Amino acid sequence: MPGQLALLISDYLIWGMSLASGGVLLAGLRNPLQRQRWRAILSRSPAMASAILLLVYLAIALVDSIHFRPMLPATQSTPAGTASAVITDPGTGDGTDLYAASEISLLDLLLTNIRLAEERSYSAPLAIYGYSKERVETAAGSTRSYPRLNYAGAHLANPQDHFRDLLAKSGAGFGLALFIMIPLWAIVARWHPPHQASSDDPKPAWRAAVFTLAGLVVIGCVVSQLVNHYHLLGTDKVGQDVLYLGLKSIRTGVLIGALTLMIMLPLAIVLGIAAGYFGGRVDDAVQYLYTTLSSIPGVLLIAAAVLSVNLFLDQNLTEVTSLHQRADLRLLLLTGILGVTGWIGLCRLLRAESLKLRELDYVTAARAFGVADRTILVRHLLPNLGHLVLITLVIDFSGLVLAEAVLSYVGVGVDPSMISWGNMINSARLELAREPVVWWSLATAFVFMFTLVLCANLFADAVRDALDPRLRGKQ
Amino acid sequence: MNSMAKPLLNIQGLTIEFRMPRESLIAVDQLDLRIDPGKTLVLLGESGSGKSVSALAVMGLLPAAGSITAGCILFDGEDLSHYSNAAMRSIRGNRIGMVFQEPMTSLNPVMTVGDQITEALPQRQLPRAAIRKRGVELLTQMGIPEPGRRFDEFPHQLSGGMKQRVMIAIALAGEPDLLIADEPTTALDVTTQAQILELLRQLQKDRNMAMLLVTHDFGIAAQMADQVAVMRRGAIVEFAAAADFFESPQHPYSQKLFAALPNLSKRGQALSSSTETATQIAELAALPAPTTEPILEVTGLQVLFKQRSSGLFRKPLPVYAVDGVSLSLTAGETLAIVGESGCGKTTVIKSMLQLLRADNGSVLFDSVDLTKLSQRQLRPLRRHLQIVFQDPYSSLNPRMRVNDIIQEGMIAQKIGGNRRQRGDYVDRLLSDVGLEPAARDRYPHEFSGGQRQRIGIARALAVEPKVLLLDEPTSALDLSVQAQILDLLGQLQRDRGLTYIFVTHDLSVVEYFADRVAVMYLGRVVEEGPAVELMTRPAHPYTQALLSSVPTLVVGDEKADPLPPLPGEPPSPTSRPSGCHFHPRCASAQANCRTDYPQPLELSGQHRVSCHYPLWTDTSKIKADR
Repeated sequence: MPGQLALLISDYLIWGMSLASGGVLLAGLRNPLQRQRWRAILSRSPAMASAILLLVYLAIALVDSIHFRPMLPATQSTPAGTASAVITDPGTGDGTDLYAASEISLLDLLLTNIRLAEERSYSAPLAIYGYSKERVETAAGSTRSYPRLNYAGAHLANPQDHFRDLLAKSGAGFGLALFIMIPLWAIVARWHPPHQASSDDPKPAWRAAVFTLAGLVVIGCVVSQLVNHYHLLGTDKVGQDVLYLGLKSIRTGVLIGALTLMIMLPLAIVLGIAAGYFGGRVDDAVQYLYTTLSSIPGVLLIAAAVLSVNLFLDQNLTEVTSLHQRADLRLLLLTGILGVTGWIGLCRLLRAESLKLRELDYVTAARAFGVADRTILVRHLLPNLGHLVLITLVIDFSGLVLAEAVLSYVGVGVDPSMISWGNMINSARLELAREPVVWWSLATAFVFMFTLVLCANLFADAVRDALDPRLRGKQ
Repeated sequence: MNSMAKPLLNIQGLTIEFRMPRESLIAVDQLDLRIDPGKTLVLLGESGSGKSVSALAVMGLLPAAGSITAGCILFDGEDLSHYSNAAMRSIRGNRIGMVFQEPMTSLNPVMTVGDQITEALPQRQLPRAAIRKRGVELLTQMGIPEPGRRFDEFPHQLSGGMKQRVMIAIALAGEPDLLIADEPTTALDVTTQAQILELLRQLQKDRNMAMLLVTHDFGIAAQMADQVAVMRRGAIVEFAAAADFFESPQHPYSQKLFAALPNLSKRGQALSSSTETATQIAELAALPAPTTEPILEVTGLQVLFKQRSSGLFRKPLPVYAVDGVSLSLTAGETLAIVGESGCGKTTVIKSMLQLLRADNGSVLFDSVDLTKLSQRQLRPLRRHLQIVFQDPYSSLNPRMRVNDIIQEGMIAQKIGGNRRQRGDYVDRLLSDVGLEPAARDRYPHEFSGGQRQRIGIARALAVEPKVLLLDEPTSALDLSVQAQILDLLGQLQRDRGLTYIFVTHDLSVVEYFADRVAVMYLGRVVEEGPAVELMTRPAHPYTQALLSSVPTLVVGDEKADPLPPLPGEPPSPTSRPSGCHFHPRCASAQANCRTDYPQPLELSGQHRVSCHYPLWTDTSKIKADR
């Protein structure tokens, strides 16, 4: 370990959540009915492709959720400027091991090259010159011209080679991709998908999976060849690589979506099922609650809550040391607020379905056996609501990712120091007003977010087609 | 009429295939049919036999996945199988009309009845008044009272029978030569069914219209058919004149179906050949009669439903779903509760099980009043009373294995020992109900309707109940499956000494299966007595009307029709007529029937009737009571 593990609260949450839902999924697959349904979902090419992309996003978010404090080179004499940013590890006691005060994640470590490759200000994608003229000191005196970038294209002795070098690097990327894919292809061609239980079962769309993976490999290889020498997607105002910002935003987006769902899910399930199954007073109370909540404009409620919580944080949490931890707390609070306001739709749905289910004969049979209400809820109602929950979850997820962007744009979203698509778009507001326009921040945020939301929506469509009994049999 | 006349509809070698994701499924295979003008052909078959698909194909209304792959449909000499959708439009309505099974969903709820009828009229260019006149005229012909008012009403304001009449009016608006009726009365009560069948017969006679009637009911076939075609797995197995068919069915499948029909004369015999032989049954039937000690006694049971109040401060009106029902049950017997939909028969058994709490009255089981017990006190007693449901699809949790489904009650009641012993018991139960032990690890969707019903029975038996409440256990099943289930229930009763309460609307099953019968009308028992006596000599006019509404197997013309169908619709419990609830529909109602509810009258031994003017009494008694 190149440092001291320093997991944030949200790290624990997202890892716990991923492991738990993975476990639930695997346990569910033991039921052949469930297995058949998943197969039905993955038999559609768009669903398979988007599932893979979603997994890639999730993987990036998970890698970005292992935070640690990097060890500072002990031999290096502490630079005066960073002395205050260094803490000693209490574990070793002798003070020989020094750790940076701010956490970086495993993803940061993997992306060290582009993370540290900072320019002075804006630069266009793949450019080797700055985006605006600066005073450049030359032997002939100072002139105003476009300066060479510190990092991008620094290896080029002759700027005229720029285009040729780009081609060469991309070509090398393609070559690398082929080099990786040919043995993979040989394996895939030999491998036969496991035999289905019966020929009626839909077969997963392996072809779509293979093409998606191939596309990802090509993109990954080309990008990996280029990023070490260029800013693939340009740099932002303070000279940070935009690709890095886009990748770091994935964690924020996934966290907002997933954690919010985790907060709204228990609320919606408990209240919805209770209202539907028990009826009477419980139903009245739950309905009263959600009718009241849903009659307050959502954005206003969120804005008010976020602002007051921020004030509270500023006044009371001065001892929170790192900037990361503070931003993390704000993120968690935002998910909490989104969750508390977001459970209404699912709750309504579950209430209605429970109303229907409780009249079904198998529930009556269980009551005739004297089975306790608690057991009926867990054994008979909950499993039969699973498809509704899953469908709503996937649809809501993309809505939440978009909501983060909107809220951050309005200024009540995540902490301004946190890298997120919303913040990128927010800063793009000024960039778009420049002449010439700086478009790549916005475009990057858009493409990353669009891919995630589109995948989630396509996947939601497939889930609904496969699980919604009203749509089943219509094809 | 000339029997060599050109047939109106002549289907030759019709083959219909459905494209499935993997293979294509042949729904109808080489179908040959002919209908002569003015005649009725009944297409008889069990579910999935392809009879509805054939009818839809004639109309050119096959679902998108289905297509005609061979054969022709000659209607009046023209082959409809190659008609385009646009060309079919000139045939539909004008030449061929169609009535569907479900009147509730066949009408558009946001259009008035009148608009839906005039939409189907061919003379749409006529002035409004003339169109309206024609529409009202049609409604009058359908026997709808106050047709002028009904014309402007919406479908939800009409009863089920009335809606079906409107559907028939729409089908006949274009004066078609052929009417296709796809199970037109299956969703209706038996008294309403009799009315609709009478109407169809009358209309056919008046208009000299040919009819293709699709049904699964042998009685309807006997009443309506000139010719009968029996379908099985997409093919016709027998095609004969109705009289010949009901006299002596030729095909083994038809014979098997006839054997599966329950009726009075088959009491004590097996219906399906698959179970025990007749001699075994005869031996068992000779066992000593059931004891006379009551195991379950229901007295004055009353269940109210609170209606949503009509105003903010008005008190909600109570609806009497069950009003003063008293029944008593001796161990080992079968009591049938009979009535039309909405009469409260299911509510009675739910409140016996304490799934609905009664508002009044008592349910004594082994001298313990179940209505007075708390949920906690009830729990140990619940194992003695169990229920089997009507719908085999909603009665099993699709997410549970059969093993878990059957064990659920045992675990809740803490009986059956440890996991292993319970598992062994599940195996035994499964073989008792005629399923393989391997079924225990499978999920409900892997079973057919009949098999699911067997699982439902096994689930109820797992806690070794003394009384089994059967809520229409066979009405969702096909005839041959019904026969198997009835045989199974009979055998289980003999083996385990079970007591049955059998709720049903199917009188032929009652005749065959029940020892005693209670007839319910609007939440009250109007007549109760030994099955054979009650079915052969009903004392209440309603019982008599119910019995005469059941289509008998005597072919139409030969039947001496003693009674016209019962007029009117079954009223709903929200608006019960005063006095005797039956008086608006009763032929022998007098003044006191409108004001006083009749007290139960003892006829002979166990036979009681609630009527001021029963059809028969012991003359000595009648004087004493008056």
